Amino acid sequence: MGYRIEIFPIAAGLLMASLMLVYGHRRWLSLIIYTVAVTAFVYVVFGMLLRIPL
Amino acid sequence: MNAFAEGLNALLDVQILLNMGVGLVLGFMVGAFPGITATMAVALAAGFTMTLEPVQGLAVMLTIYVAANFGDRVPSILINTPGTPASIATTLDGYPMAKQGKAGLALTVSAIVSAVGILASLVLFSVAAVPIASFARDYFRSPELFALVIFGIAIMIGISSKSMVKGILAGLFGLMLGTVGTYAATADQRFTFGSLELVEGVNFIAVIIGLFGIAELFDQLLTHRKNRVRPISSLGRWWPTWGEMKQTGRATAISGGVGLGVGLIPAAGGDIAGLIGWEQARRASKHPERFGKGSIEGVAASDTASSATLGGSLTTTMALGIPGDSVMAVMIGSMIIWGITPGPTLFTNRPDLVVSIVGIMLLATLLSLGLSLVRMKGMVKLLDVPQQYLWSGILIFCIIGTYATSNSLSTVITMLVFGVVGVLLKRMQVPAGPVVLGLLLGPLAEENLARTMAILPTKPFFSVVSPIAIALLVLAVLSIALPAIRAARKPREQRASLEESILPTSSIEQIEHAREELAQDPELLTSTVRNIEKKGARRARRTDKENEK
Repeated sequence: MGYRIEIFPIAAGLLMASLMLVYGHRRWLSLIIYTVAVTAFVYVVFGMLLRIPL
Repeated sequence: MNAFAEGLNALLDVQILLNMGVGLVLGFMVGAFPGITATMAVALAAGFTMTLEPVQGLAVMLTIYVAANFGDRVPSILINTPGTPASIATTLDGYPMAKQGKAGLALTVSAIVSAVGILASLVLFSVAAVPIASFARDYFRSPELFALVIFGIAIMIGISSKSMVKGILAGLFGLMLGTVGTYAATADQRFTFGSLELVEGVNFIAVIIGLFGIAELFDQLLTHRKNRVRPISSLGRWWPTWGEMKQTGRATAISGGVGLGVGLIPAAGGDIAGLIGWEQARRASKHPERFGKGSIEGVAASDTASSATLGGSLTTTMALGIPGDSVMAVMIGSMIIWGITPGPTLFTNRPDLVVSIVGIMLLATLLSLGLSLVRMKGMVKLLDVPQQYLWSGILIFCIIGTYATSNSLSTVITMLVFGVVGVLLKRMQVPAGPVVLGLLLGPLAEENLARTMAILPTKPFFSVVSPIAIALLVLAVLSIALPAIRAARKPREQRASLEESILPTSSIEQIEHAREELAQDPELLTSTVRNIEKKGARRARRTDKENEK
């Protein structure tokens, strides 16, 4: 028994957040909501539904 | 079952309709956001559609192609910034119309004539594609195919840059990239440096997404261009009167003809057709003085011409295997991955697919027209979406899309490298179009050249190289030489843009004059025209000084 930590959502979330900051976004709440939403969408659609080995 | 019924039957699938729905929404959004081109969207879609059936994948990509052609008029008309290069000419009259409170009318007329243009071009495709393909199949051997490829690349070089040397360099860079990988004739590996990833050549989709998509995103990252332009919000009435529709008839007919013709020329796309169509309609108009000042005829002319290129591009792509424009270059790349080779043999091997393609384009046009007329008011709100959401989201999707093409990180690295190359090319004002065309068509040109060279010593020269091949090569030379000579005859400061290389000086003066007049009306002023106002003020000061002297 053990847990498997998925690296992709963490890495994608960090990349997304840093990109938003670099593109000039400064409001924290919308940054977090948007980052989490896009990362979750990408992971669910591409990783889980389309089974792309992310 | 015959090919016609089979082709239509393939479309009677819920999955196809769903895919077209996705393509429609994506295409409209891509068109509406300035900076994201249809080429970039189709390249990105190519990554995700690879696992689908060919017809399903084509449904997404062709619908994006068509819908972007409708969506890109919205920012042209409302914020004076073309959504994609194809709608450059729409800004000439569309924005002045919007400033006069006729934005709704301009948007509706634009959508209607765009649909007319695309439908007319589909008729051209249906009529001309089979004869052209049969002609090519009967008369095009290796020398002719080589000449045709060179002609395509030469046209792309001739039209895509104000500096011919930069265009040629870009084309040569593309051809060089095309030599990487295994050489089909001898199975030798060239320029792979022992790397397994390069054995099959440079990944075409990764290069395209890099050059057209990532380059733009990196450029935004470096420059932080903020979109301070507020879209014009008073849209006025939407539906044209019968008289206005009648008024646009002549412009639509003339520019439609121009668009159909330009579309057939390999590599020439909607941007050039729009400008030439606008100019020809102005010449033929009863009121040429109204062009550039918000003429409904001008909007109709530019949009009909740029939309009418779609069928022509499709004809060249499907019948000859030479991309009609940059979107079609991506489409060829995808089709080759599906195991379908566009070209003369497509009509004999897969006639049903050709019928399906026409069906998809037809349906996509009608759906886009419907959506344009119903949802234009909602589209305007899209222009207010903050850029940072857009750019960061697209970058993530580019990475995932490219990774999905091969499930390998090397493809993503290729894409990022070409993103950097794309930014450098952009900064040096070197066009990316010839690079892509060189990469795609280089191996084809090389293969046919090698075959021709092998046959040449065994037969007399003129029995191998036909007049068709010679004519195509002469046209290729002319298509580079003529614009170069025309540019050389103009003063250096007038060689500034595509508009100026196509339109005569009198037309450019008229447009500038009209824009300055509009800018002088302080009530209508938005931030977009302030530069023009400054330019106008500078010019006025200069004239004053000259007068004083």
